[in-house]
Amino acid sequence: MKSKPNGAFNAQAFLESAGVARKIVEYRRGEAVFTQGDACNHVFYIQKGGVKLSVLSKAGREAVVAMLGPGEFFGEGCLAGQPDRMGSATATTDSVILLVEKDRMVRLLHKQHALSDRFIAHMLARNIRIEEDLIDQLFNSSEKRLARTLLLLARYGKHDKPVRAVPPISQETLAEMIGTTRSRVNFFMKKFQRLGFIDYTKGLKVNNSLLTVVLHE
Amino acid sequence: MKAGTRFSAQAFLDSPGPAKTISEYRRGETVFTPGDACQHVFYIRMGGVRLSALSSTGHEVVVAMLGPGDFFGEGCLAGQPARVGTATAMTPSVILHVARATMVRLLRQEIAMADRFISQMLSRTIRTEEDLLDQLFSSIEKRHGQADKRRAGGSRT
Repeated sequence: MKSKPNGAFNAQAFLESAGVARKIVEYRRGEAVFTQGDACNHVFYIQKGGVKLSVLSKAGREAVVAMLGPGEFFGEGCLAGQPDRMGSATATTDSVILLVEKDRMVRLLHKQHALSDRFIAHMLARNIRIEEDLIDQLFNSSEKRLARTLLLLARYGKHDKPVRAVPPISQETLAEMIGTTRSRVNFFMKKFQRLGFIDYTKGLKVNNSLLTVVLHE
Repeated sequence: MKAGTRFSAQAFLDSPGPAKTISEYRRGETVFTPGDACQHVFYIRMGGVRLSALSSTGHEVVVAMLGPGDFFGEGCLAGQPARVGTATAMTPSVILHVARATMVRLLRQEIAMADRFISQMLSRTIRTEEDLLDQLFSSIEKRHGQADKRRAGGSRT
């Protein structure tokens, strides 16, 4: 087998640069990366920024399935043979996104261990998160779901040091994430603020004490 | 590369060997329960498995129903130290237990295995996402219904 010097595949370098069958696109905050019903031609990787995945019901209500950040893939459903997008992806902030053609991604996952490793880790994490969201949805009150969502947005339990500050997010979007109305979210946010669980000075900050809502029965 | 020495994911999953054991489960028998240590990834050779979670109030919900050819218990690959849910055989089942370290190594070294695993993860994610959406939408509709009712009630006074 021929192997050029420096010819080893570098997954990180691949994901951080443009090249054959892949391009880097910048999106402004609020811009759609794809919308429900679009053809599935690419898998996406967030280099910078953030993306919201949402789905519109027949009744016209929107539900948010995921809020993703740098280093995450999305639109991977097309690898499983989905012909069209089942939902929409919207930039939640100014974002830089790598678009990899579907066929190229399939070939690379077959050939490049470094990339399939990365991708498997991503799928495992996504899967666990979605399962947890589903269980949360089935078991918990909207108050608890809101508290959990805020803690996750502030990255509690994900890193050693939680960031505390929640990226700018509307109460509307929070309602779409936890499956309730904006007025319910507003009601609980006021309650959390009164109890000192969250703090609105200089953007939204989440305090450790919010955990009590999630843990308390 | 000699023919015959290539790794076959299917052959690996269908035969006994080092670092993997095959167990049979009766209908209703549990494969793991919450709190069990995460040491294996499981692969269903025959039968079916139900993954469920128990709320603190004792309600059980089914997270997935799996069949032959499906993996489960893969959360330990993502660093979960203990099982968070329950896996129960729905019918008499034959299940392969692959040690976590072996599975990690196979996914690194054997593309055929990684392929299999990725495609299953993708379909699992899509299915679970659909279930989540069902729940989100029904919850949103219910809440909006209640809000509409409250508004209608309020306008009378």
